[in-house]
Amino acid sequence: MADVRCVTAVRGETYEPSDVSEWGGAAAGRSPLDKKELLFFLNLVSLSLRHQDSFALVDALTAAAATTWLTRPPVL
Amino acid sequence: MARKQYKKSSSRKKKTHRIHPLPSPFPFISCVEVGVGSGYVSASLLTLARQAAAARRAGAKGESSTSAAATGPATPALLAVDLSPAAMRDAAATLAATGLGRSPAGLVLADLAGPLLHRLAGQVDVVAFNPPYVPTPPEEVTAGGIAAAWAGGDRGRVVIDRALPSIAALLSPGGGEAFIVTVAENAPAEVLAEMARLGAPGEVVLQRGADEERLVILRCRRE
Repeated sequence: MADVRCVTAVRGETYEPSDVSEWGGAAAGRSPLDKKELLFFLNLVSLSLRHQDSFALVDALTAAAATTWLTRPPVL
Repeated sequence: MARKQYKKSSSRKKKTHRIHPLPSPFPFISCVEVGVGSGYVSASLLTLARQAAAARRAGAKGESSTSAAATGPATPALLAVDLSPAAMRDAAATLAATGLGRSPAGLVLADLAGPLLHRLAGQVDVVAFNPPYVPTPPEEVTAGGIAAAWAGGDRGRVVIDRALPSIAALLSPGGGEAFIVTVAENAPAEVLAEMARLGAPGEVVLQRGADEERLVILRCRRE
């Protein structure tokens, strides 16, 4: 997955996709989270769910870029 | 005095709006995203295209001048379309935050890809389309606001079906590709059949569960 810093259309925070998995893993091993951590984690989970479709699209684009785009000259 | 100032302003306006012809052959990997939203997909797509272009340039250095000329400079360019002014602002911020603010990327406030066709029909290498695909009551499709990001009407197909003709028309003959997000409720096989009818047959390249959704990513190629 490309390293993209995303500003959400809804809340305006900046985050990186890798933050989501890192915080998910950290939260699974720690209980209870303090309120600040919990809010941050829930926000990232929410963002993660909201962007799953975009992540899937980018994964498909990435797979294509590794094959077609590198071997095919521009068709224009 | 006032008249002189008016003339100056008028002259400057003419220069600003001058339209230059596109170079031929168009020396880009050209990408379009329909419905840019947050800009995450566009930023990823442009990053990938830049990496592909760099690899292509590196490969061309080791080849004969004839091969390099056939490959071309391949500088990537991206146009991203959305109906939402908020999406324009956020996508610009995402591109800038990803270090792509100075890249040849343009944000176009428009309803789907139709407005691009008069200049870019048959000239786009990659189209990305993550439509509002969620099945909703029909009135939600035109309700405006953030609902436009997901509301797809009957079977989630209202916006998808409206966009497919212009997406197929943008693609370069001989290999231009469209990547389209659908969910099972959209009947992805029907979407593929429609793209095939429009000259861009395709296939399912990725399926993934996401919460209650079953995402199905389509890849269609213009023949």
